[in-house]
Amino acid sequence: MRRYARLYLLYIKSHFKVMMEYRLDFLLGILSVFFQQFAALFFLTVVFSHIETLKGWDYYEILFIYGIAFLGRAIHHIFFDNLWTLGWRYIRTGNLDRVLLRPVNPLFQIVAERLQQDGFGQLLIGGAVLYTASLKLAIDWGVTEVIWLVVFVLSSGALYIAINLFFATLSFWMTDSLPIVSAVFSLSDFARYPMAIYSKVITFILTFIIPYGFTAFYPATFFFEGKQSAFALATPLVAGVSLVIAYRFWTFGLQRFASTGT
Amino acid sequence: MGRPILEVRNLVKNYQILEREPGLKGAVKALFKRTYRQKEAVRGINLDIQAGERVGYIGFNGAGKSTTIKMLAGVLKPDGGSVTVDGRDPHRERIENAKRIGAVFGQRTQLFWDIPVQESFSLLKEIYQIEDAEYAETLQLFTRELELQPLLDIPVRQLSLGQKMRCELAASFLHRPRIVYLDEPTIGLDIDIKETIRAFIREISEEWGTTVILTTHDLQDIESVCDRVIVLDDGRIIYDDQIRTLKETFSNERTLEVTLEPHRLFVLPETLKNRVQLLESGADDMTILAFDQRQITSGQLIREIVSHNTIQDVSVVVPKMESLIRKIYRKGA
Amino acid sequence: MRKYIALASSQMKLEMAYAAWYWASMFSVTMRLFILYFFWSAVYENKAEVSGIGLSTMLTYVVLATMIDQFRGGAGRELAQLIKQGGVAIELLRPYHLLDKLFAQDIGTKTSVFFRATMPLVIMSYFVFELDGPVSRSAGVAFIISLIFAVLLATAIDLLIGTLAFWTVNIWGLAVLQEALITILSGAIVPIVLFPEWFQEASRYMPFASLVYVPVGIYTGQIGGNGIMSSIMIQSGWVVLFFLATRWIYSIAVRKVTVFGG
Repeated sequence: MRRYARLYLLYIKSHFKVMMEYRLDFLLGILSVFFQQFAALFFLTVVFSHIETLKGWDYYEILFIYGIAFLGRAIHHIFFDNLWTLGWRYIRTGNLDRVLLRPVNPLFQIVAERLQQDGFGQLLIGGAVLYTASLKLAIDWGVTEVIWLVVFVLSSGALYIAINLFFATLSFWMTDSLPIVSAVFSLSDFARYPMAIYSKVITFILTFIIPYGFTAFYPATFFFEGKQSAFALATPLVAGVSLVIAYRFWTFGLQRFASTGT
Repeated sequence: MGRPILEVRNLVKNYQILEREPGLKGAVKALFKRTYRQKEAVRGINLDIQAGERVGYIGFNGAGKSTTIKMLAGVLKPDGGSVTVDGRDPHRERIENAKRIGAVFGQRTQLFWDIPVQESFSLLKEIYQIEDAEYAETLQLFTRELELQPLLDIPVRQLSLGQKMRCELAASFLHRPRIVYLDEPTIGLDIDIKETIRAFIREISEEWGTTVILTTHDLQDIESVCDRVIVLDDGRIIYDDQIRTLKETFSNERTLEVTLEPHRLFVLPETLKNRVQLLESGADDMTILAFDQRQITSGQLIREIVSHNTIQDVSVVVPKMESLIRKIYRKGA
Repeated sequence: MRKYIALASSQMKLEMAYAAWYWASMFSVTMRLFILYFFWSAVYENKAEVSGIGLSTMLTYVVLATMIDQFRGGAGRELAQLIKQGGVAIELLRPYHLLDKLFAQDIGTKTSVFFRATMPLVIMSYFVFELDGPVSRSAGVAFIISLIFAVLLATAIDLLIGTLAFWTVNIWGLAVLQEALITILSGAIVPIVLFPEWFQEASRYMPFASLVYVPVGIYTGQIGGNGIMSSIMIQSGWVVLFFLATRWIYSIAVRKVTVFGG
């Protein structure tokens, strides 16, 4: 464990050196993320200038949900972005062989080989949005609330990671599952709004099948007076179970890779 | 001789190849029913390699070289038979095994693309948990032997092929592995870089007792690095012996190159017909004959030839490794 | 003319090859439409209209806007790529005008996207979300004309940004800015009539509304009467302006390349 932490730090150190070489790209990356998030916020703000509540949820509550979603996504984006490239960068090119030749966990190596710095912009916006919303929501911030918030954000990140890992693993059978990964990822946009606005089928899918509901909405309700969802506290559990399932599936896929060498 | 460091018994690997009919119809069919064709890439290989041996592993493309190497390295799981490296199953104990092996896999880089060579090395130091002192010593040695000093601060992606290969080689030996697998380490390189690389492999292996398994298409690599050669054809070993023995077996073989005066036709004396083999005749007035010294001496042969032909020049050639290997292929196929 | 038709059709074939990506993007867009549907249904829960627009009109608007928004060009990125990799010199040797070639390819791509992605999705949306037809037959005709101008304008803007790569090499930052401006100002996410007054006023002097808001607004009746004619005139004006500007900038750049050797 300590060894892996040290290794990761070393990887990050080299990333930052490379990043300094491309300072302009770094700034532009952050800028682009800013614009993307800004468009989403702009949309929400324009709509809410005409309505008071969305099925009983007000502007700041939805902002708060956005905030948690942004932070969870940012964690995934910064540290686990390389999962997207499993097919075309590792399997198709044979680079996975190189990874397997080293005495270090292969998933760790793949993940550590990339750090997506523009995610820091997302982190910043997410934090700002969350802060603004929580000021207006009159949340009673105690130590427990802060701890829960941290747990929720980490769980949200873990869910994004688990879901992407699971579908990226399909690459072991089809060389590059990127289209599937990105299609599934598009479901995560549902998580930005209260589940109550969707039909039962969609709610069911987002709760029990591909649990994006736990990346923002369910945990956010924990902080809303009188609107707590029964699912809120299950968030860390769901995240943990999803991670285990995804990782198991990954090891299974890796075994298959070793026997076919596709 | 003690227990071999590498033992391979009846190693088998098959690939399934998806058969696809051409065109749209085939693509639609493939959605519902997939037909696979078995390709036997490796069909029952047996090997014993002693610690410190340098083995050349050669064969045509598709003979199964890379597949074998991948199984030896633990990346690929055999379909049958067993591999034991230093007492371990390299696939089942992949990570333990990985600590003790090094590899250069063709054009795929071991190093980290965007970061300077020096930092790639220090990442590898952590990955293989090399002691500080040992690392410093090794790096100093390699920097000198492979002339790495001017390359250390350059990101890998900016290196030329030859520069990159020198760094790759350093990376694969950095943790002082017991076995190193080198898959085409000299492909596409200039002759002097090839020389540097060959010398490096030879010297380090001699000094540390590293076992080297080298696949290549350049037989010069084998001649200058290896002491044993294994020839693979269609998934089977068709030749496995010491290079010294190989050379001795064919040590009496010679070729005679004869250049005639312009516009003369070569005449092969009746008495020679069963004792020499006509390899080439006519082109550029040059004729090449193969013979065995035990059947006829060079002197006798030349005398016979000269008495029947008008000759400008004649020379006796001791065949190179390359043509010996070509002979094995011809026999095996 | 013939060779440009050939270019367009070969590009169409190329597009067909990406079947996996096709289904993935169909899925993603469908999901986005569903999110929009549920979101707007929730907005209208206690309201008959927002800024004078009823629910079915609004749904019609956002669905069509989302579909048209898929036609933001790719020709400019292609051009930038060519410039970056030094391919322009080779293109200059060929018997066509590079801009026309890229334009033809872009139209090929978009025609193909229109028939295999846009049409099926629009037809599905009509049944699933019960969208409105055009407000009148003449509005329907005007919509089609306006739509063509909108697509041409999108390509023209993209090519203009692309040409700038002759000077900046990396147009990534500009592309991000373009993306964000179009998303927000074109009316792709909300009808411009929902924007604050001053914002609507400002957008009148910018080309972005011509990309999405004008055609869709004509269809749903936000733009009617004399407004239709003048909006289409403005659209065509922008198209001409951007085309001429792009040609002009390109000719300056090519002179630069041929004189100084790029």
